[in-house]
Amino acid sequence: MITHHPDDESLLAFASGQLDSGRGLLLSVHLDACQQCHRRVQALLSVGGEVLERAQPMELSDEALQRVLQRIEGTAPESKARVGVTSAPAARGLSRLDSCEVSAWRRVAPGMRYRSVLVPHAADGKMFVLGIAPGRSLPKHSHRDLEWTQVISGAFDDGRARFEAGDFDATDGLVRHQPVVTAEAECICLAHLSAPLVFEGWIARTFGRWIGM
Amino acid sequence: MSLAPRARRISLVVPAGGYAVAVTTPEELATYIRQVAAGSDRAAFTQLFQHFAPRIKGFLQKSGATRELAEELAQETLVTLWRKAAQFDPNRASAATWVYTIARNLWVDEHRRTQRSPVDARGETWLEDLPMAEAPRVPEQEVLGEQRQRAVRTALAALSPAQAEVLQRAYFAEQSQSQIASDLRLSLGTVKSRARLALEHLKDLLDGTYL
Repeated sequence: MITHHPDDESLLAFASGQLDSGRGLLLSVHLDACQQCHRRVQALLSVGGEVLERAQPMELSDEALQRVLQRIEGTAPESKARVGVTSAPAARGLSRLDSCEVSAWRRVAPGMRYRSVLVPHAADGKMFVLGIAPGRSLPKHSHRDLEWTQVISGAFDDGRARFEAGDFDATDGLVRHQPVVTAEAECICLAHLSAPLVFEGWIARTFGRWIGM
Repeated sequence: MSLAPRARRISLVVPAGGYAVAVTTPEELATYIRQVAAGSDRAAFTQLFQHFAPRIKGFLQKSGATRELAEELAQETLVTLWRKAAQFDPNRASAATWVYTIARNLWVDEHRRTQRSPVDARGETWLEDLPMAEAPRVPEQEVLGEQRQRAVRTALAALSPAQAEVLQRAYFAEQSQSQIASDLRLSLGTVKSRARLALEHLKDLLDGTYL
């Protein structure tokens, strides 16, 4: 069961298209897994629809309609089955990353591997998929800025709470934590960093170098 | 915006200092989109153009687009509407919300292409198939898009004008919270707390059914 969700402001930023592409992508992975946030975003998109309905109309150029009609001339609307029918959203996992360049797995340290994710049009920040073996922990670190994490599979506990598949976590400069993966399975997370992590210790520095921070 | 009587199918409203636009009911808009999907209906498409294109243009200009860009993207939105009409599902979104999502995506893509250094030029957007085009999820919890839209409309009307203002402005892309603060001559803290309260209030008003 999903118990950790993005806050309302983040969902609003998503619905109004104001998130940078990396964080937007990470949030859409969460929405695929989380019915509750999905419904909230739909309501917030409806607010957008309402804002559009109320927008002050501006006259288009005289030939605008003709030009659009010419552009659609001879083309029929696409048939329906194009997206989202191959798998249930919850089962998609990381298929949202299809538009990104995702590296092969790279080993950073014993029990710890990652894939870098290059997001099209990403303004800033770094995105990566992280795999931590059962029982292992990520080096203790704090954040200079914002870290967003979406748990894809497995679970970890960082002393604040337990995070399981589908859970979302946002940590800021105030949080210093050491996520420990539970014993059952490797924990796979999608993570987005707006600024470098501040790691303590050598693995951390190696890791930081690997992911390019 | 004032509502025209519904006796005539299409009527014109001239907003103060503005441009006459067709007023079409949400149900009619949804029907037109389905007609486009079903039979490449150009007459239905023209109605949709007349309803949405001027609003999209106005919305985008308010979001910081130049007149030329707003015009171009309004046209582009309508072309996309034609192409993707079959993906419109009135169970998931009202016509206005669906069109809003298309216009928003185009604007976001455009913004990214021009404002930031693109990683590559494929231009795929994470909003592309979200969330309207998704396979249905839990059916018993589905609400008709237009019902949701009505609920949202009612909820917005129930917000205090100050909260509604801050919330609506969040949808205009160029208006960061600090921009909104300076426009409204409020402190940034006030804008932030108003936005938060507006979202809380909205959640209460929609009472777990829609949020």
